[in-house]
Amino acid sequence: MKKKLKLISTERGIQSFLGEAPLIAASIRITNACNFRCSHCYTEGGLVTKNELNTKEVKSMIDQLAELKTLYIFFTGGEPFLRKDIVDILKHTSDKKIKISISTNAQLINQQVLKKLKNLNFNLFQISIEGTKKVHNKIVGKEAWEKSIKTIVLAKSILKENIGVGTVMMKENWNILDKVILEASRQGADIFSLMLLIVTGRAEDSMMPVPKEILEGLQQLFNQYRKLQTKIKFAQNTTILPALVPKEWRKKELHKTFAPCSFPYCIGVSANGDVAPCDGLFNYPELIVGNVKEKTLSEIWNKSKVLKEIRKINPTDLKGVCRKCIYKDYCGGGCRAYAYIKYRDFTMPDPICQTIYEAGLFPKDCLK
Amino acid sequence: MRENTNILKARPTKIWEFREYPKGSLLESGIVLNETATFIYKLCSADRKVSEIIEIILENYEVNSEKAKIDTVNCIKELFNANAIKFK
Repeated sequence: MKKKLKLISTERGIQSFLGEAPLIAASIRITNACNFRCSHCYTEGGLVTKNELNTKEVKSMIDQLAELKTLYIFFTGGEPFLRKDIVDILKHTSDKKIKISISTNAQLINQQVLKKLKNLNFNLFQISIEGTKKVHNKIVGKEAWEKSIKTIVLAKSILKENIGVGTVMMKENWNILDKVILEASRQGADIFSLMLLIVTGRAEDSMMPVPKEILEGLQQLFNQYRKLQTKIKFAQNTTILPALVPKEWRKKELHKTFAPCSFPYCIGVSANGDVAPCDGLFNYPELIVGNVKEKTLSEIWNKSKVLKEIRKINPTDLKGVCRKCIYKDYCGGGCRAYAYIKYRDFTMPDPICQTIYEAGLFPKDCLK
Repeated sequence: MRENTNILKARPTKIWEFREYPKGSLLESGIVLNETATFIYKLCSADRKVSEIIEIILENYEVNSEKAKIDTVNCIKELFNANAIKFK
């Protein structure tokens, strides 16, 4: 029997439209162990923590995320490839039809590992490159750049696509981002993910570029991108705020190719199973909404008062520059986790946009 | 955006992953679609022209060809403007 044709439309009122709160994405800090000690690391990766989730517990969590219709999982660390079962975990995620993003420093990856990962459901296989050879090795570790570059080439030859280079913009590299994206493209990466520094974990305020540097760095990056855009694209999860994208690219609506952050329809899970509204928020006990060893994810997602309250926040509730920004409905206020980290309030503005606004450098054509 | 006459020949392709719910669907980019828009989005697979999508709409919905054409083209335009589809 034929159905009636209803009004065809698209809209953004997610929870009111669907009648339930979807869990779009999960970020899983799969281990806290890391072979480096980068000074800007927001997770303070280092030694393995007590009671990290075992393989069975991780797989059970992935099964639960599949039941909750999660679209993708971002695996972070620490260094995910320090886990001996990481390939098994990624295969399990792929079998569950969940897209995989993973961030690695690439030091433990070889041809054998990559062959096991071939044909998995990756939408981003991200290798961290924090600068040119000299800068990267200073930030990350001796000869790390060389190994990362080799891994990009190898990954391209085996995985073929969705090979990303991830860079955190900071004081030491804001003026060489154009060189990083150029090198990434030359070595075969087809995705570039720029993340703005979040001052938490080991990162300190002194590592943050000043507003003028942030804007100049972005302009240089996009000038280079103009020459490379047929070879490399920005990652959907890049955290460049729409208003900070240079005007000529905003006019082309390039920012619409970045998926806005899925917050508040996401969760972070720590290595020991703690659940928070985002993986940047594990340092705040008041935001730990449960542990997957004690409760099901469905129970946590649907019953947590904290998560329910956060999901009530609308773009119209945002304060500061976000309130005045023409992109607030699209961007949703940038990084809500960073707003909480900086101001202890989810309705406060994105701290980077606010700092730029207070310096008088926020693009005037982005203000209502 | 293409003119209507050209749109009928265009082959739209989905950009985002999506999940279906009882009332519609949710795209990875945060866009929600109602049941009919979801039906159309699922048909956007690059091997199918918009005119062929309209034919499938006619087979599955109680609607005359003119309304099916107008609504489908409008939906395709909305999906394009929302960066949910691209044209091959």
